Amino acid sequence: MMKKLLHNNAMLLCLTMAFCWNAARAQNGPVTGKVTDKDGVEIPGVSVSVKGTSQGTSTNEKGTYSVQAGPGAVLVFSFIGFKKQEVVLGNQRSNVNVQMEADVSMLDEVVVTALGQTQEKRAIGYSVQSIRSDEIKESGNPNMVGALQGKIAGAVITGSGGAPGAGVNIILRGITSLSGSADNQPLFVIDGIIISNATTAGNPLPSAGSASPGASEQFANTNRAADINPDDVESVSVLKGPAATALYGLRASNGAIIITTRRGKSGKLNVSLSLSGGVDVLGKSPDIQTRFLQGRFGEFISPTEVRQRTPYQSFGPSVIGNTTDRIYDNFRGFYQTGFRTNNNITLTKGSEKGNIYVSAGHNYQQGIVPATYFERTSAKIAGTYNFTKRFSASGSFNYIRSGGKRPPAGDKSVFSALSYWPNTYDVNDYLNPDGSYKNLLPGFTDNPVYLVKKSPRIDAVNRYIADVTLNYNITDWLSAKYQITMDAFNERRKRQVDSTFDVGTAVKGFLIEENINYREINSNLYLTATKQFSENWNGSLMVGNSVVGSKRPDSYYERGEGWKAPFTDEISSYRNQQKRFYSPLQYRIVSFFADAKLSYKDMLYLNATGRNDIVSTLPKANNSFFYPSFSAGYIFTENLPKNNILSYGKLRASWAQVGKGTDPYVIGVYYELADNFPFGNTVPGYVRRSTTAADNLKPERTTSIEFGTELRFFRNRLMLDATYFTMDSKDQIVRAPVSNVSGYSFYYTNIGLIRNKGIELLATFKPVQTARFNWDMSLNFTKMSGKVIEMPEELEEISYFDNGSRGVLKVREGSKLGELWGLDYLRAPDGQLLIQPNGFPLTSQVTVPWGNALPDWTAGLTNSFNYRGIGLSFLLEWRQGGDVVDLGERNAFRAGSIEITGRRYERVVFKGVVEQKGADNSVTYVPNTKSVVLDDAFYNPSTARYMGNSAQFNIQDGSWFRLRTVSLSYAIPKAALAQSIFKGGVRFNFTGTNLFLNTPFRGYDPEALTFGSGTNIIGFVGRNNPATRSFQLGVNVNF
Amino acid sequence: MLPLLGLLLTSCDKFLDVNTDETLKGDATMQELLPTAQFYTAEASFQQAYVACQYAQQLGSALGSNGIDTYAETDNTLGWSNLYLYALPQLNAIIRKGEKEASPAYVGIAKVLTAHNLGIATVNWENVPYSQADKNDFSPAYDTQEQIYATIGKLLDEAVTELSGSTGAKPGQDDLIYQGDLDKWTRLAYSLRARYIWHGSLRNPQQAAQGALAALEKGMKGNEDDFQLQYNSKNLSPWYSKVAIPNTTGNLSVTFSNTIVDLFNGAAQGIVDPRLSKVIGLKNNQTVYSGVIPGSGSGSTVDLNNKAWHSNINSPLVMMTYSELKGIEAEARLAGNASGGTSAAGYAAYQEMISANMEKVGVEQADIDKFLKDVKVDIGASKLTAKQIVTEKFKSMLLIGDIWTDIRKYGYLDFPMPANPNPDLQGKRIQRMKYPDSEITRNSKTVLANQKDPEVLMWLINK
Repeated sequence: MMKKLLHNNAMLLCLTMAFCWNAARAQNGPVTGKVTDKDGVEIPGVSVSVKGTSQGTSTNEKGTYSVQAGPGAVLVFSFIGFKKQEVVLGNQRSNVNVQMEADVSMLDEVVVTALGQTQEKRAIGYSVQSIRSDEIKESGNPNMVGALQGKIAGAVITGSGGAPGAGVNIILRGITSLSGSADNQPLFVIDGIIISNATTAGNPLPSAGSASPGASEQFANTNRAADINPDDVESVSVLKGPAATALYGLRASNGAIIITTRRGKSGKLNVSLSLSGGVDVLGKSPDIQTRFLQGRFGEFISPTEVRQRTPYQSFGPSVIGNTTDRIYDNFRGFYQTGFRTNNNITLTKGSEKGNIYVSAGHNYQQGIVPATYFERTSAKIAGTYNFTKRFSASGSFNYIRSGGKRPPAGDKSVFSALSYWPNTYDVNDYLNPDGSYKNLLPGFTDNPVYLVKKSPRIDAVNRYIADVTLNYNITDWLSAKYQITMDAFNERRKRQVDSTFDVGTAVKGFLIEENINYREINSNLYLTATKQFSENWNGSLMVGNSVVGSKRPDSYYERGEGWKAPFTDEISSYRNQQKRFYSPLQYRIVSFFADAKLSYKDMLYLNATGRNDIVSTLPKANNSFFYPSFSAGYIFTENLPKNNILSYGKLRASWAQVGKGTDPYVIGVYYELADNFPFGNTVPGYVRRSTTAADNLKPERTTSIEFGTELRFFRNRLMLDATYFTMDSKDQIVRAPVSNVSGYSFYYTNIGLIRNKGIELLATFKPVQTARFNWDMSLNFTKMSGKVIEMPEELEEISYFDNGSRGVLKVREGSKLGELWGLDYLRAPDGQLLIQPNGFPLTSQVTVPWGNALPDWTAGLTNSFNYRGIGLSFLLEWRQGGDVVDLGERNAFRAGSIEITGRRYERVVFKGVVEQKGADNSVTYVPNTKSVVLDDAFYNPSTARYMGNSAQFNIQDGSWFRLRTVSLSYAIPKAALAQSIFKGGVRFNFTGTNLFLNTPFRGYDPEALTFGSGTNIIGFVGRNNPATRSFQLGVNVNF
Repeated sequence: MLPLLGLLLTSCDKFLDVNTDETLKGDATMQELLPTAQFYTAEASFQQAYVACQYAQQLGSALGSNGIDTYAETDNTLGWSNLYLYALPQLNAIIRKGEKEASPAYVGIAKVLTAHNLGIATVNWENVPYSQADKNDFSPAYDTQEQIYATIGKLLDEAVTELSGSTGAKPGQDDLIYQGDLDKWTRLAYSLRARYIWHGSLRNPQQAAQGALAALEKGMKGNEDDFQLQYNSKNLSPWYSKVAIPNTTGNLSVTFSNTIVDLFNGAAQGIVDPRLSKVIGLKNNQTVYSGVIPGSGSGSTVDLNNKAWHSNINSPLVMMTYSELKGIEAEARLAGNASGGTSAAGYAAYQEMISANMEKVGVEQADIDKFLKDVKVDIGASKLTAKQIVTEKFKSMLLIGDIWTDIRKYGYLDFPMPANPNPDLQGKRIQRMKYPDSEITRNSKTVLANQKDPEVLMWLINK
């Protein structure tokens, strides 16, 4: 390894040394001055740098600065939201004052790129999208990731339902890893701190009984980025492709979300307070059939009848003319109005010596499912201290406590029970007058209200995120930065189900307690040198080292089964106890990297990076790998005569590679305690782990090519930004399902080639721009697709999820990513439905590619109007295509409660042909004429091949068009508040979410992934908490 | 500078040496592997029985007319993975360790269990993998059925030799089946030998009869020798947890078919078998025993519930019984008796098969005697027919999947065709299971080379 490392890093070393030998330049006296906005208000925190050097400072609370620079040097002033200014120093040493111009056009926009570098957007050779804090706040979404919905070109962001604290799934530029368990989530970085956005499924199941097959669908577990308080966020940068993330290395191979939080600024103590509250109601719900009561074959089944017949179906008599019974829409009636509050206080203060930021926030959300809630309390302190002009230290500490009660989802859950509930009874009527449990369907299913009240999953998270950063300007052209960061959390979960519940019957009641710990430490060292080679050529070189240590220590679940007296809520009250450790998932990465930049005038920008990762998870022979990236940006309008039509034009091109390791412990042989052993609580038993890996497992490599352009017309009234990319993921490490005869079920190996490509468009337009009234439009559009180009010899297909052939997510060679397979009807050679002799069509038993879970394209359009402090903005979002399978519908279908089952006692003739055999065994097809009656039997699972199993029925178009948010705000004019304590400003806002939804999908809002966040199992919805429609009112006060 | 870098890299190597999961073990002992190997052997046997007993019409779908009992092709994926993924790798590890550590007892037991597993596999799928299984080969070829039977014989011979060895570690509580009683293991080896030799009775009746009789001589001596895994209230009996419980929670599974219920309730034989109320459970509020009509999902008043001997929370999972061995003896002696009818020993074996099973399920001695003396059962040695033996064997081997082999050997007796039979069979009886879908997609070339249509007779059944 050493030899290889040396080879890889020799160049970096030489370069570093070359800079070391560069003679230090002569010292200059300090230059001082003040920076203000166009109204003369001082701006603290403006970055002041000496062009061509790493020398720099920022303005203090009075807006003044002091920097070392000699005559002829160029001072560069930059600050987010303002245009960059350059001042050539003459002999004047003091009062070099600068008036910053607000950057409405964002032309010289500064964005945060990999490793927290702030760069001018014009200097970047790849696509970066930046989201401001107000856009995040206005979304009204308490989950950071959810707040990005509809705003990012190239992202597919999907919620996992409206449960408080439910996870949100984000995929940037498509799926690059094929396994069902693969995490295609981007890297999350807050102020240089890499944080976990993992969603831990855990193991919430009893050892026996007809519960769900998979743990992940049981609870829409929170993705851990939800712990971040959106109120602390200043801006978010979305780095989409390898060109943007190559410096982050393997962990950002699916992109990166770079979050910059607010820091102390102004000199005076600034206090701001924001309070908001809102309500959530159920969004779309399935249409029900409103004609037929509970029962079977048209006959009512009394709830008191001795159980011969299944009572959960709504195939009873017609309600027409019936005066005693009515039909309840339990799919709405079950849900309550949820409410939420979100309160934050922020204190900031800055001085010449540094700055401090303190915030505290509390977010409470009561769910629309009775008895469920999510709560987050967070506190943060962050600050910078300047020890000397050259040396400063900053740090932050963020404590978050979150958790709540969540509804059991998945099979045998609240939502499955709800879909079985007969329509003749109010689902909320579940108690007898004496307070005891009244179950209409004993032995079939539980009352969902009772189930969630008695048996929710309770969880609590304690999380700590902290960092310490040291900055040292060694000389005016060389600076060093060291940052050490930590992210740690502990999560506890508990669920108790007694034996009276369906899911607890088999094991006579159970209790599951989970304890999950996570700890990650990152150490980063950067050395940056800058050099002005000539008047036109500027260059910089950064070299760095990073060390990552991550693990999930002491994480386990404890399960008790068989409740025994004395009855308590402790594990000790259970006859059979089992404790199993979760894998500690420990890994370490040591990396060396370099980033070289070269610019010519303000016209041409070149950037090359290289990174070498050494990982603990791959075999020693292959555990060190190097990958480079190159990008270029060319502002071609600099070479054109100035004109008023095309004010700015830029071309971007990049080629980048990023390598990726694998999960911990995939290599090696292990024996694990067999499930539900020790046998009879006494005899231990082990099995060889059923996964294995290729001996020569190599790192996987994604190579991307990206071209883009940014064009601004009519003095920035219109901006167009277009990007085309291809990404080839080669030598993927796939957890390939293999023949069990091998003694293994999964084999980690390098395989195949996946190609993702797409276009991302971004356009902004200002139709009206006057002193009093502004209208801004912003449109983003994404179209992308991925294809499996090569598969390994020994594998025919990789199936990630199989819903009993009624929707299978799998790929073969040549497949598009996200393909959903299903069962088509049997057809005659000419394609017409082949009707059986009994008059019904029949589905085939072999799945064929039918739909695709990934959308064809997505778009978002934001319109913002501003008139004298009154702001109105609304976000429209489209998702075209993206098929979904509703896992909840099957129950309701067989129970006869939904509209699609409303066609009954009708005599129909299925359109198609019947096979006729001639005397000579020749086959001819003649149109079907046989009429059949649709009744219970048609919708019954035993005749599922008539309709229930068909792809036509199961794989639905999940396209939608929605009004994602409407936001109305009003700021009281500052003049009116000048003398009050609110002189910092008062702003009211109202946000409505999901106010309008149009979709052909039959169930609840299709945006509610069953398998939650952090999964590749997309395209399956339902059987979990449906999405909501929300209204929020808030006020922001600055003192 | 360079030495410094070297130092850094050496420590870097150490720093990165964390890729070991300390919550798992790098190796396991024979004592830790034997219980799991036995557990998964029983699970594989259950999975096989779940399908085979539906094809053999002991069970039928409780749900509807699209169950396995219509002779629908099914793949028994779980049985396959229990065998190849969970049982065989541990058994091979035990054999390797036992040979290395000179513990022939463990080697012998593992070989017996391997033979049993191969036996239930080959009657499901005909050609199955063994010689290339558990070898890290991801496209393993399968052995022919003929090779598998030869392997079973060889494994059992070797097992007998190993089990007589006296050195090394001996199993105790880690042997969940016989608690370390090596004599019982030896008798099981001979009993399995008899079973698998007798499987070949259609190919060579005389040789099979002689071979089986010679083997069963040294086989099980009584019900206490039965090859079964006793479950407990933690590790629930699979007939309870996978059939009885789903049946009570609305996820209907299987129930007893009218073919078997009518044999017990007197409808077919004209005499009520005293095992009826022991092995067949009545649904609540039912008094009349009637089974489901295969392929219809309807007509059943009975259930696998806690009133049925096999489906209590801690019922044993039975894989081979003394009673079955007596049935084999009765068949073999009948076949060996050229003069028609059977010998006295053959007749005694026929009666012992019935009474041993009745004792096992808790029938009173008086009821046993009464049943055995009934003219419809006590037909006399000279009139005993193979059909009579197999019909009784069918009852005595309730929920033991190998009964399907007998039923196929006897051309499904006079059992009715199920309602809604699988049209692909064109009126014929089902002869085999499909290879698992997982195998079809992961090892397709091998499957294509071995897959036959469901109605095609296996090598074993081909005369």
